[in-house]
Amino acid sequence: MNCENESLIEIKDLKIGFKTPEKILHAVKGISLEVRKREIVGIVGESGCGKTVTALSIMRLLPDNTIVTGNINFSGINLLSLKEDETREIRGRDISMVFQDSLSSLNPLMKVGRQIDENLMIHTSLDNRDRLSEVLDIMDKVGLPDPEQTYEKYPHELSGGMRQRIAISIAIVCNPDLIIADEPTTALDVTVQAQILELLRKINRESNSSIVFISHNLGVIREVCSKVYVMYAGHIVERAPAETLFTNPGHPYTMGLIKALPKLESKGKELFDIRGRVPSIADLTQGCPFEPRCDYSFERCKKEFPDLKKIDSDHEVRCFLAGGIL
Amino acid sequence: MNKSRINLWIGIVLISVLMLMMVVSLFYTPFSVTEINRLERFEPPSARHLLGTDNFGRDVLSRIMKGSQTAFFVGLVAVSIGSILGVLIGAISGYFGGIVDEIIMRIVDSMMAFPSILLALMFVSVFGVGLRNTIIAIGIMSIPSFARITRSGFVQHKELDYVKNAKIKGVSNLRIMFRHILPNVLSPIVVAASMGFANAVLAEAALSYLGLGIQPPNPSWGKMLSESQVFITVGPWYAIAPGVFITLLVLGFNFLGDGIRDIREKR
Repeated sequence: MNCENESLIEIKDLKIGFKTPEKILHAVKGISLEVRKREIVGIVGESGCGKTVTALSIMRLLPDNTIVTGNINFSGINLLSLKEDETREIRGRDISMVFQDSLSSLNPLMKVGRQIDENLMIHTSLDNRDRLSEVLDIMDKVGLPDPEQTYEKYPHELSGGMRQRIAISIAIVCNPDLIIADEPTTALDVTVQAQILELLRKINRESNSSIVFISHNLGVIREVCSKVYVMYAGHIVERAPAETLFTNPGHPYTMGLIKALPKLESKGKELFDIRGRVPSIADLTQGCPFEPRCDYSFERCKKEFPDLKKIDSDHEVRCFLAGGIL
Repeated sequence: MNKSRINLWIGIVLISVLMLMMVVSLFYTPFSVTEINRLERFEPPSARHLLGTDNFGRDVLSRIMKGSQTAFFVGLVAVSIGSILGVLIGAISGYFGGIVDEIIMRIVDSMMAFPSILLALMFVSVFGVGLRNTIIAIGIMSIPSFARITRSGFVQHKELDYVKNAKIKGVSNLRIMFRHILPNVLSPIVVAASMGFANAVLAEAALSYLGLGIQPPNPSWGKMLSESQVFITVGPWYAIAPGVFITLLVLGFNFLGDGIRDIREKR
């Protein structure tokens, strides 16, 4: 069977704008990306580059004052053209999501077991007893101790790691095709982080769900993803297999990110940072958005916006210099 | 014990005592509530009549006890009407927002612009006096405050991650509103209900005092207050008793409301 290369979700020229009284501000400026079946895809970028907004647009959860154009093709359906009740059927069953902060993403007044159960209640026709055993199974699978007891607990009674496991249980209980994990490990300490990453990999292996892994942490991305998109100021600036991205980064921004990772041998030295700041979404430049912060910029970067350039069969970079002197 | 708990306990004790009195009056009153006794008019408080007698020689304590039934009944039903409708309206308005919210809130605003007792008066004089209309009028008058409080809670909570997460699970709007958000915004509503109860008791007393509320021979504290007014020099105890009991009940619910709010805010 060769379903490895089959596309699960394909985003084409997605633009997301926020209406303000004066004008429309674009947070995402025409991105295209693809997630294949059983793949773990990473999206990296600084805060405010449009990662989360992209994820929410897949879930159709953006507020009313946003304008979304483009095409999100999920197993042959354009998600952007669905009606409210049709998206509700897909949410939780076919696509689900795990948030960064597990404390605020769980209902403080509902037993955690019931919160997992709710997903089954909506999307399956199982009776109470079957659902209960299903929930306990899932809780066991994600490594929660004493499922029966934990079922009865409220979110505040659990640790951050356990809460995130609950959140993951909610996401996977209906066996979705796609799980969007929006910085799922950022709020956790390093050891728990490693456990959660391992859990996500296990879920990906065993239940054939694709995962979109959103993070600003390149180290985490490298550990779990097979393919990475680097986003900057609402654009995708580089796409590459995870390993290629680290050994042979093509965009000056990616290079900066990798250089900025703390390493063992740089102990005692000052950490590298990319100078300048992320442009505000209200800034409109004609040229490359990274130009003001780029060490390699030249005249053309100020006036022209570079296209995504293919420098290898699965490696694309949005830079004039890509594949050349860089 | 700290101050906030004292508020709560004063409230609980006051209400419990009055409620006990109300329950006892369902089965037993020292004297008949309606029977007229000419020989015992305006007797001052004594061992036989603990709170004295009125202008018809009826036992004031018995009438106060019977009147507590009216007070509790009016309070309970009016608050139920007000809170159920108010929460429903507020939830829809706060959750969906937009034009629906604008329209509902402008109507609520205009209701709030009038003093509620005036609106209740208007309602009663149009639809007729009596217990039922009094309760409906008081209930409707308390809708705006419940609607506002509920709305503000919903506006705040609908943007929170747990609601987003519920949407991601595919939970329907109705279920999100009442199964997820409502329990989380319930405590200010409970406080409002307690305060609303006090207001309902006051409003009933005021309407009955004006002769538009409960009709004789049913005893009502407000009615007793207005009847006793004429005889204030002959039998002051007759006026003092209903006044004190109205105050105690209203105070009790206000303390209870304050107490609940203090505990909630400390958390």
